[in-house]
Amino acid sequence: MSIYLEPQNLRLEVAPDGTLRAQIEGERCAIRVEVLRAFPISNENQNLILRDGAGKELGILRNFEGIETPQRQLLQDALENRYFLPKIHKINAIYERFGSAVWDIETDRGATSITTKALHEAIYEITPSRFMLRDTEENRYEIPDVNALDEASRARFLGKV
Amino acid sequence: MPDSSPSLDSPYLKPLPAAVSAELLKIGVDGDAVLQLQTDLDSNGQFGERFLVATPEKLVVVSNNGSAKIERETPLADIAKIESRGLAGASSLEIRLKTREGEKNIEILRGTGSKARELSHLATQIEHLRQHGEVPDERDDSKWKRRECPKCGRPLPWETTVCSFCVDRLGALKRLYGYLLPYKWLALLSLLLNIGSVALSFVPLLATKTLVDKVFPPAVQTGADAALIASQNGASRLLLAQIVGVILLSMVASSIADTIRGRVAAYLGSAVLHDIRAQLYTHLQRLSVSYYDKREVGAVMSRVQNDVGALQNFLLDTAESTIISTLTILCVITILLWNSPFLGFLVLLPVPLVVIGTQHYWRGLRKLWQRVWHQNSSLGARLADALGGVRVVRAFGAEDREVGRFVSRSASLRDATMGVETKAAAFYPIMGFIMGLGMPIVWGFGGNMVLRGELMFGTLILFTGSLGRLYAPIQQLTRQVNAVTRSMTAAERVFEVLDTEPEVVEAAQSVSIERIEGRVEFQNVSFGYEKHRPVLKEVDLVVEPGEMIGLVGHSGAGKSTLINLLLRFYDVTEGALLIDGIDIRDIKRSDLREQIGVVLQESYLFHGTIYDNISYGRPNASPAEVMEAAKAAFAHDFIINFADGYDTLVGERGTRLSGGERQRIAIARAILHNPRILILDEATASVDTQTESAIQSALHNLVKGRTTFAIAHRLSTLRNADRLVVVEGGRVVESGTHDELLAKRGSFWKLVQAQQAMNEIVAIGG
Repeated sequence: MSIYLEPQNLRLEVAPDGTLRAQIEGERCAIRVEVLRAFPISNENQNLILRDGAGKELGILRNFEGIETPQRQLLQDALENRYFLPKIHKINAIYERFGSAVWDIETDRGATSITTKALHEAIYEITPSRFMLRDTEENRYEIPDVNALDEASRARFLGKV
Repeated sequence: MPDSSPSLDSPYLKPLPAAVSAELLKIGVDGDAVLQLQTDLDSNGQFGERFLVATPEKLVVVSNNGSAKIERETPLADIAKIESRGLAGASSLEIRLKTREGEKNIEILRGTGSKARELSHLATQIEHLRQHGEVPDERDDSKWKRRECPKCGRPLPWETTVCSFCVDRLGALKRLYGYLLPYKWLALLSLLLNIGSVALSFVPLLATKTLVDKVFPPAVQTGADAALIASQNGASRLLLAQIVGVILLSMVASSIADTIRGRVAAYLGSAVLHDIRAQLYTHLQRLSVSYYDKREVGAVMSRVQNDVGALQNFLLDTAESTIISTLTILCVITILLWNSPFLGFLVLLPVPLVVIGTQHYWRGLRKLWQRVWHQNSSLGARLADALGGVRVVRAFGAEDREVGRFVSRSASLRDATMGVETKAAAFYPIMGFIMGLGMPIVWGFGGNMVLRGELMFGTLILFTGSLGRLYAPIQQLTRQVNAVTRSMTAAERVFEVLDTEPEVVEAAQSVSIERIEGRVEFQNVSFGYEKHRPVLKEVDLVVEPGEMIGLVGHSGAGKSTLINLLLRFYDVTEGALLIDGIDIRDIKRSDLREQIGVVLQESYLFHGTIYDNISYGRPNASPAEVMEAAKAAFAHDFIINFADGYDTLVGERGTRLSGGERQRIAIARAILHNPRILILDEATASVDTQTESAIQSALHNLVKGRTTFAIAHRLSTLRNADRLVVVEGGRVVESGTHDELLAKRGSFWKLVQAQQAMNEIVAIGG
């Protein structure tokens, strides 16, 4: 038996209480459904796990294929709601003092200023061009592609790596 | 057959001393001996020569101390059993002799620790001879036969092929040179640049001589009338400009050469070092597990890091500065002797003093430095120990004692450091004085020669200038002798690792098994990690494909050793271990490893994501396969609960997982690996009972359809086993189902009783 759900057997809708309801054809109906990513970093749009409110797994969606647009939007909203990982697209400045660094950044979730400590621990390399930043409050920020940053931002960042 | 030796054409039978052979001939042992051994202790336990010779009919012991004497002649038929016994520092061979009054134990041979292996092996051989009338056919004699160094003939220590007497320092240097060969053109370039750069550095000095002699003739020096000088010196001005130009040019060329030289040297040193490091690491991964048993992981790591680091110093620094110092000294000496042999000779007079003094001093200082290092590390160890055990120290109120110990070590360190500094303080002024002697010599003798017109003034300037370039390199070179020695020692240690042969080797014609069925057979297996201390004794066990075997017994009984043999971390000493009817030593190693899976008590997770760790045994597994394995291991749900899911980093510096979580990831790893034979070594020992039941269900999924060996201390863990095997003192003493063994009221029953009693105590205490 496959661990995957067949997309045509799945129906998603918003319940009156605003949570997600999932109907798996011929099997069951689940309320307060949560959508989780099995591989949030390496492959965020594949292997999506659907769980009911009690934490019991309904099944795994291979990807968004075969799912109609309104339902796909529901899935994406749920994921968007659960996963908060700002993607940095601009670094305006990095000030270093006393071993900490203050980053003035712009992300897809807006502009902010973050503080990191000990740069070699704060910056984690996922691939040679993809990086993760962890600030002193344990929040994380992603640089999806260093080469896609503008010239000045890239120079600022690579000067710290 | 000549009477000098009763030897057969067997490689194990070396010629006996003539006197011993003669005695043997008297009792009719002539050419029919099949086994023999020379030992090094006599019947009184004193050092002495004794021989045991066995024929298919009898055992003969001959002592040979001064004269040969037959000590014992026993027909094999009279022997009930022959056994070797490990004593403390020695070992002996005992027979159980059948006499009319019954059986009697008699010691017939004794040897020091260096004979222990041979004695134990001899015992099994004679036992075989006694029972079957012939010597067993041995496939591997390296386990007990002592090898000799091919160079010096001394017996090699066990487990190594490196003779500690025969490593020569120059050999290490030659081997390092071998690593340079792939870069030979660069190395040549580096050498040429070195020569060029040293030569160029002398240009300004030589130019000064010309300057003084040709441009500023004595008239200038004695302060003749300025107008007169100016009118005469048109040609001199041109020469001056030329010389200054040459000096400038040589400086520019020298800087360029130095830059290139530095880059070439850095590239060369790093490249060679990288080659050595890569080779060393590759070799370390190839070495048998037994290599790591005998050494601490820390020591091996230090060898990779420190010794290679010492080599780095040598390759990047010492080697080059040695070449430069040597070249500089040669240049200075040539210049001095060329310009004035007599004065040159005088200037060189203090050189032997400098060499001898420096060498003597450094030898003494090195001893003192070693003392400082030793004191320093012992202080560090003390500190780590006391701080690491700080709770124990407080609990026993031993703070003052610990402080006292620390202070006394610190005082030793203070004294050692003072010793070094005192010696160093005296050395430099004395050396400075000796080296300074060159200057008065040059000015005194040289000045007189100039005044007598025997020496050009410029040559005198050249001498004073050269002096500074002479003594410093000599001193440096003398000191570098030690640095070079140290580097060579490091090189030797690295090479020693590289020269160590893996003990468990792939058979020349290994058999490939694509799919192991899972039939495992221990045939009369004996094995010991150390010479002469068998951990497993004559184990016979047949396991059918798909069967789950629970191994039980006290700790140290030999359960884990059985597993180690099955994984082929070690090879059996005697007997054979068959998988699907094929000797494990003949099975292709990669086939074996691919089809045997292990879950250990403390599963090691590598630094990386959970996905990486589960797919470690099958790096190309798809996400679906990994998730399926994780589901079977009851790990999927907790993994999904992590914010990063399967991308969560674990291992060192990663997310902290509980013991149960780690175990379940390890089980998922084993499930994905899909082995035909599965080993569970205390897989649930380190988790609490509740987690254990989750893991038990995971394991239940895992053992289906595979031959499984499970070791567990908690006997309740093994209730799913098809058969329980009780190991005691290295032997299999009972085997059967749980109920059969309980009904038997034997060893297993006692173990169960003990554990129940224990549980009751815990219940009362808790």
